[in-house]
Order: sequence, then C-alpha cells, then structure tokens
Amino acid sequence: MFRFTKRITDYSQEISQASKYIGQGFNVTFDHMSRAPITVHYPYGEMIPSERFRGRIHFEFDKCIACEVCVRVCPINLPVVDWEFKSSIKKKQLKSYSIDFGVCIFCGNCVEYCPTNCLSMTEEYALSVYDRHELNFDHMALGRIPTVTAI
Amino acid sequence: MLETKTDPMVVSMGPHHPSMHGVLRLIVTLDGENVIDCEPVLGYLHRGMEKIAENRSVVQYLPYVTRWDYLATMFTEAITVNAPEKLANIEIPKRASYIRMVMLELSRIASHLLWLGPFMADIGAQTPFFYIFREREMVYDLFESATGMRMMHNYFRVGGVATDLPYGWVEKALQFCDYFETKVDEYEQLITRNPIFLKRVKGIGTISRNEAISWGLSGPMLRGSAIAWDLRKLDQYESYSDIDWSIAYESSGDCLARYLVRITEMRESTKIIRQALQMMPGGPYENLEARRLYYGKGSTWNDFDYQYIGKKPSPTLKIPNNEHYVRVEAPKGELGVYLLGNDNLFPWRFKIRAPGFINLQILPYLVQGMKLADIMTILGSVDLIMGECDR
Amino acid sequence: MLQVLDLRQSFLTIIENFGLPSSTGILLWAVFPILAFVIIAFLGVLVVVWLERKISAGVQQRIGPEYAGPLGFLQPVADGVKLLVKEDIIPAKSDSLLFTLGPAIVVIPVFLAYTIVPFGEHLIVADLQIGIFFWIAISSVAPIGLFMAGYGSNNKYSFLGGLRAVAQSISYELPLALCVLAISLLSDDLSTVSIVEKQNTFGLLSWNFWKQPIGFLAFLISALAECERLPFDLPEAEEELVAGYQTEYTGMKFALFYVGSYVNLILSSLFVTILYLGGWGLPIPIELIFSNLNIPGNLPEIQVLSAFVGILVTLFKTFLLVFLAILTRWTLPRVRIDQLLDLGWKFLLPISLGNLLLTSSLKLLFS
Repeated sequence: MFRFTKRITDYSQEISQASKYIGQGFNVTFDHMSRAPITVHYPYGEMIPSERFRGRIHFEFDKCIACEVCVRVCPINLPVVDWEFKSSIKKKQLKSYSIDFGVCIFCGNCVEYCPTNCLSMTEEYALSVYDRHELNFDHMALGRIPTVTAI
Repeated sequence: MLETKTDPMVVSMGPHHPSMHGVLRLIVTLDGENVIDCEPVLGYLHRGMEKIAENRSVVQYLPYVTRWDYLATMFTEAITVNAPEKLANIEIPKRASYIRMVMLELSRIASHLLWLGPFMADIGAQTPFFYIFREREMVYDLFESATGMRMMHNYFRVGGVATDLPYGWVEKALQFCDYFETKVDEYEQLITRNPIFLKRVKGIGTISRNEAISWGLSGPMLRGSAIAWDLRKLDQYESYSDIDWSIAYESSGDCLARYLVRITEMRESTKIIRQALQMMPGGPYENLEARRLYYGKGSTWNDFDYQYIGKKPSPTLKIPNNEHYVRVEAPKGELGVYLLGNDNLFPWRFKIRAPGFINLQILPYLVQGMKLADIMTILGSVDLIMGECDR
Repeated sequence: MLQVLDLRQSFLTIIENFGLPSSTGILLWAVFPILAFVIIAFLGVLVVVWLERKISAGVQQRIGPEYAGPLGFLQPVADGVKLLVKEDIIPAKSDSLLFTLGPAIVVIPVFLAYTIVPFGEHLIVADLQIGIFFWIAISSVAPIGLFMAGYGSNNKYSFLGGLRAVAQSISYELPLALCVLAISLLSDDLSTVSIVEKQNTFGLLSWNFWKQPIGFLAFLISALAECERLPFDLPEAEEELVAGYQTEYTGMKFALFYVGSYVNLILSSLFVTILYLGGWGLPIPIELIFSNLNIPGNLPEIQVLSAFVGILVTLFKTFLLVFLAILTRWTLPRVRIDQLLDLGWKFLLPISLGNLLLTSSLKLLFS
C-alpha cells in the first residue's frame, strides 16, 4: 500500500517537473516574439561588405608586367595573360588580360601574390547575367570602377 | 491459420531528402516501424579532391580544402597547412599561432551550431534552426572582416596566416564571446531538460567504450562514451597548452551524451577564445622564411646576408621527400592528412582521413532494432557532412 | 435571455416584402446558415494561416509575409490561388478512386461538425440534442480517409505515414470522448448550447475550466493529437517521411488537406472554448452589466449588441487557443510513434477515466 502511494507521488512529481521544463521552453520562444527581427530583406535592404571582402577582381592594365604569377597561384590557372616579348624595347608587351568570372572562385590568391598591386578585389558580388559568356571580363571590363552598393 | 507476418519493406531514403544531412543514401529494411538493417551509400558528392591535390602546389590547393568540411572550414585549412609545415620543419610565430587558435575555435563553435540546428529539426523542434543561424551570422561577420569571405576563407598559409587581424577585431570577438554564452544558456533552457526531447534521445544509439575504440571513432562520439581523448591536449599543437581549458566528456554513450558533449565544447571554446584574445602577443603573423625558395642562398634567417624579396614572391615551397601524418581535432572528429612528398611543388600522395567517413561506419550497427524515427536522431548525433565523407 | 428578435420570422418577412413567395424564403433560410458557416470556416482558415506565419516569424526573429497586401494579409489568398492553378497529378500505378476520395473523406467530417458550434444562444446551425456527441461520431470517419490517402498513393513513404496517422487518430479518440463524457455529466445534457449556458451562471468562476482542470489538459492534448499538429505530427514528419500521406498530392487535393488541417484546428479550439471556457460568456455575465447600467434587456438593439459581443468573445477565446497551438508547434520537438501511442493509451486514457470517475462520484455526492 505504501509502495503504491509512493509510486503515485513519484509519478505525479515526474509529471509536474516535465510540465515545468516544457513551460521553460515556452518562456524562451515567447520571449523571442518581443525581439526585433534580424533578417535583412535583400533587394530592399543590403548588408555592407567588409573592407577585405573578396568581390569582383579589379585590374589596372598599366601596372601589369605580365609576370603570370597570378596564373601560377590560381587553383585553376584561370587568368588569361596575352603577352608578347618585344625585342625592340626588351620588355613584355601585354596585349590582353581576361578573367572568366563564371569559373573564378574568388579565392584571392592572384590578388595576394601580384607583385605590382595591379590586381585588387572590389565589393561587387551581384554578377548575375543571362548569358554566361558575358562573365568573361577582359581588361576593359576589369578596369571599370566598381558600382557602389546603396548607402 | 491467417498469415499476418509480412515481408520486410525496403525503403530507400534517397540522396534527395529533406533531412538536411547532405547527399547520403540510406537503404533501410523495415519491419513495420522497426529497422532491421540500414545500408549507407556514399559517393554522391565525390569530387576527386585527393587526385586534384597531386597536381596543385600548396597555395593553389588551399581554396579547395575548405570545400571538404564546409561548415568548419578553418580546420581543413589548418591541416593542409600543418602538413607541409611539419614536414619541412617550419616554425610559426607565436602571434600567428594564437590567431590560428582563435579562428579554429570560432570555427568549432560555428560547426557545432550548425550541427545543433539540423539535429533539432530532425527531432521536430524547428525553431533552434533559426536561432543558430543568428549566432552563426555573427561568426561569419567576424570571419569576413578578418579574412575577406564568410565561409571559404583561404586564410591560413604555410608559416602563419595570410594577413593580420584588422583593428578592433579583438574587441568585437570578445563581445561575441559574452553574447554567445547567454545564448548557449538559452539553448539549454529550451532544449536540454525538455521531456519530449529527452525521451527521443536518451538511451538511443548507445556506444560502449570498447566499441567506440574498436570502430575507430573520434571526436564527440568518442568523448560521449567516457573516453577523455582530445587531440588538443594530446598532441599539444598550436598553443593550446598555454590556455586553461578542460576536455568535455560524458559517460552514457547515447545521443544525449553526444549532445551534451557538443554543448559543453561550445562553452569551452568560448573560454579558449577569450583567454587567447586576452593573451595574444604582438609580432609577425607569417613566417617569411617559408617564402624563400627551398634551395635559396643558404643564408640563415635574419642574417646580414639574408635576402628575401619584401613583397610576396611566388610561393614555391617544395615539399621535402618524406612522409608524414598530421591531425587536428576537428569538431566532427580527428581530421588527418597523410602527406607523401617528392621534393616537388606538388605532393606525391595526399590522403585525407575524414572523420565523417570513419564515424559513418557505425551507423548500421547502431540502427538495428530501433524505430524509423530513431535513424534520423542517430544520424544527426553522428554529425556527418558529406563534403568530407565523399571528398 | 429573452428572445425578442425572431431572426427567422424577420428574414421571411423581408423576403415576402420583395414579392417572392414564402416558400422561397423558407428554402433560403435553410441554406443561408450553412453557407454562412462554410464561408466563416474558410475565412477562419485564411486568418489562421496568416497568424501561423506571422507568429512563427515572430518566434524565429524574422518578419514573415509582408509584401502580399498590407502586413501580408493576402498571403493565404495567394497560397490558395497558387494551389488552385497547379496541375492535378494522379500517380501512375495508384488506385485513383481511393486516391481522389481520401482527402474528401478526411475533410468533410470537419466541415460537418461546424453545424453544432454555437456562437450565441440562437446562433447555431442545428441545435441537435446529441450535440457534442455528433462531433465525436463523425470525426471517427477521418482515419478511413487517411488510410485511403496513404494506401492509394502507391508510395512507401505515404503508406507509412498513413499507417501512423490512423494509429494516432484512433488512439486519441478515446480520451477525447471520455473528457466530453465528463463534461456532459457536469451539465446533464449533450447539446452544446446548454453546456455553454450552464457555464455562464456566475461568469468566470462557473466555467468548466475550474471544475475539470485535468479534463481540460487531457482534452487539449488529445485535440492537438487529433489535429496532427506538432508535437504529434508524425504522419507528416518532414525529415523522415518527406510529407507522409500527403506526399503524392498536388494542387486542389493538397489544398484540401491543408485547409482541412487548419479547419480542424479552429474546430478543436472552438470546442475547447465551448466545453471548458464558457463559450460566448464574458467573465462577468452580460445581463449583470446591463442591469447595473439600468439598460432594459429586451430592446432589439441590445439583443443585437449582446449577440455581437458573444461572437467576439468566442472568437477571442478560440484564437487564444490557436495561438497556444501555434506556439507549441514551434517550441516542442516531435514525439516518436511508440511514445505517442504510450502517451495516448497509458497516460491519457487512465487519466481521463480517473477524471470521469472523480466527476461522477462528486456529482453523486453533491446532487
């Protein structure tokens, strides 16, 4: 008889503890309803990228010495450096430079190892196009000033 | 005599599944609601990482490695950089070691957070999934300001880190630690004592001590079965021995134990980050020695005759003709790389020991005799990520 | 409450004033309440869907719908239109008769049960004498529909989901019926209108909630389980079974399941308010307020006002419970099938039986 009542009291204690802990959980979720939302609705609001953000690559044609280090450190040897050695001036002449952003993974190796600092990264990340061939930027497209995000 | 026993049903929980575990195919043999057998089928995310490594130099390969375990990216970079460092005996400056430690622990927090979300979502509570992303966004912001990218960092280099931390980063990270500890308390309040949650995870998927060792498990799966094995204390890599922290382990060996281990590890990581940030020394962040050509002028570092190009020359670190296994304590387990060098830019063999692949082996054994709903719980507690299982 | 307004007679008089014969008026009066209730049920679904999305967004610290109409009010309408224009796919080797009839059989009993829900003393479609038992009886038809949907889809996931759904529905009908039995013992009558009227004698203190706290909790849990909402939403556990017995359904049939689950939720909340929270009664009885303000209770305007207040009060209590159900969905994890059946048979059934025993013995003692 005593064991039976003890079991009943234990059981009801378990149930009351269980409901207490469920109530604690409710407290947390209910408390969240009073907090401000943390989402940023993209086209109507935007996050500002940090200073070191690795967006589209920017290329200064006049600084490039066509050393091709950027090609050698790229994981896929992506930049296409079209140069020709001009024996008259004993220097390389850079004819064209292009990077295909449809393939680039924006790792930043080329920017880091460029000896003349002609490569840098901008904050542009909205590069969507309808035809992927438009993503193959030549040195004119790479040299454009990046479009600034809304302030 | 009516025949009421039916044939067991074979359900293919195919690679395309809303269960948030990546592309893992489970061929489950069911008898009603009880599971008789379960066969995992891998390979849907195989990208040939090990073969690619044989044709890339270290700097070229670093952007690839973050794609193994894309939730704890700093660990993959750390191991890829540790392997040539230890092989060629390159020392890293103290400051770089501390920065690496802080980044690694932040990545561990991020990985455990993103383990918690899908684990709870599989059990049925879908709100913690949103809460963890809130914290993870803060970690992402810290990473973005230091490394340039939220997830695929490309930050570690042979000999240190790529650049130093920006001004004000240490204060922001300390603020994050304070904020995060209150959030972990909130998670515990919401989840840990919830009776429905406890009934779902207590006693499910129990691994005994000997089984854990003989199956070759590592990480929280091992520590959940009363084995206090943590490579950070064992190998004493980076500067973990300078910091005061303790190994998190539990003794029951079931899903609840692994859950508690990971929550405690998140708290311990916060402790480590705080101490490391407060103790961070000044100094260089990269060992420029490693930037020298291997067969340089034969001059010693900082010598009068020492010549190195101040701006970054092309990093052509030749991997010596030696073989070597290095490992780190990744949040999923022991992540290791067996590197065979051939005195060349490119390694001869780059074998990746992925913790998820090894930990997955125990799944059919654990699932036998459980109900269908338990498969998801156990799979969640094993903490897989298919990027590193399949490589 | 004195019945000064005779709605039926006034309606018939208006129809006759339009020149139409009185038989048209009688016909229209038969159809009008049913139509009104179906429209109210649908509107209720729209409101509850919007509420669910906004409340879940609030719990998860985000905003929820905000671009479809002001504050996202038209989002459920957009959802409905989307489901309407989708292609209706019937799987190749499925049993098309079972597949098509399944959703209908699941949803029709729920709409039928709205006929006994009172919003006021005479604002009810049919004041049946068996009242609340009607709901218990026809909601037992739903498991057949679930089974048809699960089996007829020719899909292992749906089959598993259907089996689970049937087991769940059947196990939780018993505690539901026993709690209702205890309530009917308290009020000596099965008709819903008299159950509410018996509760409004003293205002807040005479609600059945105080007399049957255990029954209230057991009824809440069983009703949640019958509606298949978290923590009891195993039949459509997304991570394990994709969408359970609803996997193969598209377009309008899926819309039927979707609408049916929300209509069921509103219905269960309505029944909780009627059985335990005093239906349309204010905490202080409205006659008391009127007599204290010295307003005569038999003016037609006052009657309209009190009926209106009654409807508002019922809706307020119902939506309070709906809010609680939505918050539960986003807080608690899911219960496993054997734990679910344990809860139904080994916990709720003995507790509701004990509650019934207690109620009947107290009634015998104090009558």
